[in-house]
Amino acid sequence: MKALIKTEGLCKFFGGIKAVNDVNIRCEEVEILGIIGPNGAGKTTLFNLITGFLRPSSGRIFFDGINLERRNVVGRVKLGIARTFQVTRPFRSLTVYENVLISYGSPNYSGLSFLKSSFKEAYAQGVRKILRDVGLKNVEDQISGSLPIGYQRRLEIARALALKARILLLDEPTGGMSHEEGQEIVSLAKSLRQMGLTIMIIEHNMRVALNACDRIYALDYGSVIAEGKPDEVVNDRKVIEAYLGAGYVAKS
Amino acid sequence: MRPIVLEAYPITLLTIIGTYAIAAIGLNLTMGSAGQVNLGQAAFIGIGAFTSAILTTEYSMPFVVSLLVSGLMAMIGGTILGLISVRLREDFLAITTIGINFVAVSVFQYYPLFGGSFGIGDIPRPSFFGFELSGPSYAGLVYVVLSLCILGALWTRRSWLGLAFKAIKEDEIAALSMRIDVRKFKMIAFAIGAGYGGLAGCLLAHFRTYIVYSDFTFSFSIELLTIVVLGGLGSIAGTTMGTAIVVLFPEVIRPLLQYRLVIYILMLIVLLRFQPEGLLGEKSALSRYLHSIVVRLYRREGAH
Repeated sequence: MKALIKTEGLCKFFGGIKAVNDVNIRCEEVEILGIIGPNGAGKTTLFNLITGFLRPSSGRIFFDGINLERRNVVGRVKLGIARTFQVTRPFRSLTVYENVLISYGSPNYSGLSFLKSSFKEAYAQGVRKILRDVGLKNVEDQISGSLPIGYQRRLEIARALALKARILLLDEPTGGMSHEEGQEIVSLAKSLRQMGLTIMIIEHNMRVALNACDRIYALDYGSVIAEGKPDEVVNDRKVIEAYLGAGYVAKS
Repeated sequence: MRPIVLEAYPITLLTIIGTYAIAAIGLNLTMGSAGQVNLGQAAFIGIGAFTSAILTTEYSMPFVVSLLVSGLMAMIGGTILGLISVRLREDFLAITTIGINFVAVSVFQYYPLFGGSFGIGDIPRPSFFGFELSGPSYAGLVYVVLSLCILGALWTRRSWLGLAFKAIKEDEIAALSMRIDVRKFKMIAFAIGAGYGGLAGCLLAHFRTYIVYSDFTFSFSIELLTIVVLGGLGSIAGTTMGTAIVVLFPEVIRPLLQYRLVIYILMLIVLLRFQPEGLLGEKSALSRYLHSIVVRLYRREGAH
């Protein structure tokens, strides 16, 4: 198996706080990799480092063998790394369709091809297909900012898909959703993996992570505390401690 | 000879409306489409005006060339402002753009190249094949350039550039994640807006045949801002209409001429409080009303 994402001794310090501390992870091609951990464990910081929104204090990140050190956010998206945000960031006053179109046309923003027309049947068809795939077809003309959170999360996934990326980094894609809605997102993620995409997913909810992921890393205080199959990780002593406190482990 | 006098006045007004509209449409691309505040548009109009004035009086360059060069010079100025703006946001950017306006005016006043306090006079009227453009023919030229500028603005809307502008206006971080180089598109937004200003400046210089630093002060920028906000951020038709209103109103009500800056600022405050969409901006009261009429007419057609 080839590692699509690999980190080596990755660290990010904010003053004295070690948000990410010597993290070495591998994300294989075409797997759903879960990143779990309590609040403040450094999950989102890890995503920000991989996508280039933050620069590491030390350590290296590789995408498909390419060192990402010298690539900015845009350069990394170009390589095929797409992400969604924990707090959704739709282009609020634009429609769902426009949101996905902006993403679908991403190759046109480099060089001078931004002068080309965005009104082309091929683009419209491509966007509509993605909207159908993620279940947003019936709201395509609605203003994205006024949609309920479940739809906004789907929109984030739709935009990431429209980038034709190789790996999707989903930051708590089921946050703020009901159990049923969460299950729908999980099955969406699974069908995307079936299509050959690699997915890294931050999940706060253990039950969702257990159900969705092929493999899981558990983080606490910026460090990896466990790695392996979902059922192994969630039953790991250190993981239970991190979530529920040392006292709970002692009692049970 | 009376008819000529009668004709000259409206044609002067038409010419001024045309030139201001070019500068205002440019400003609207920067502010309305891309969401980047520019309170110093008059500086770029000045750059265009002085560039063309110097090129035609000192170096007797043909008008068409100096028109293009003045647009280009203003674009370069806009790109520099764009470079600065990458590091600034909202209120700090606004203050910086005001500063740019003051710096430009001081430079125009200080350096003899720009005629100092006396300005530059005897700027030639453009002539094509020995025919000198003035009055109606000059107005014609202005409206040809304006039409090209409107076409350019309309194309921006249709192109990926327009979508990139919308994206950086809405959310820069999300835009970055969609492969939109925010820095590059901010610079383009300022460059295009300034370039339109430069063209307007050139046309203004050759219309008045005399320009001086005080023609391009901050109050001119405020006038253009009023036009854009009144017309509606992002609306090209609205901006053109706004220009006509703002230019004509002190002409219609002469006694108000000296208070016009006060009135513009009051207008800005009232608009931003009660109708921030302006006259024809998306979701403005007027455009919704017009839309409802169109829908009603369409339904009636359908009923037959």
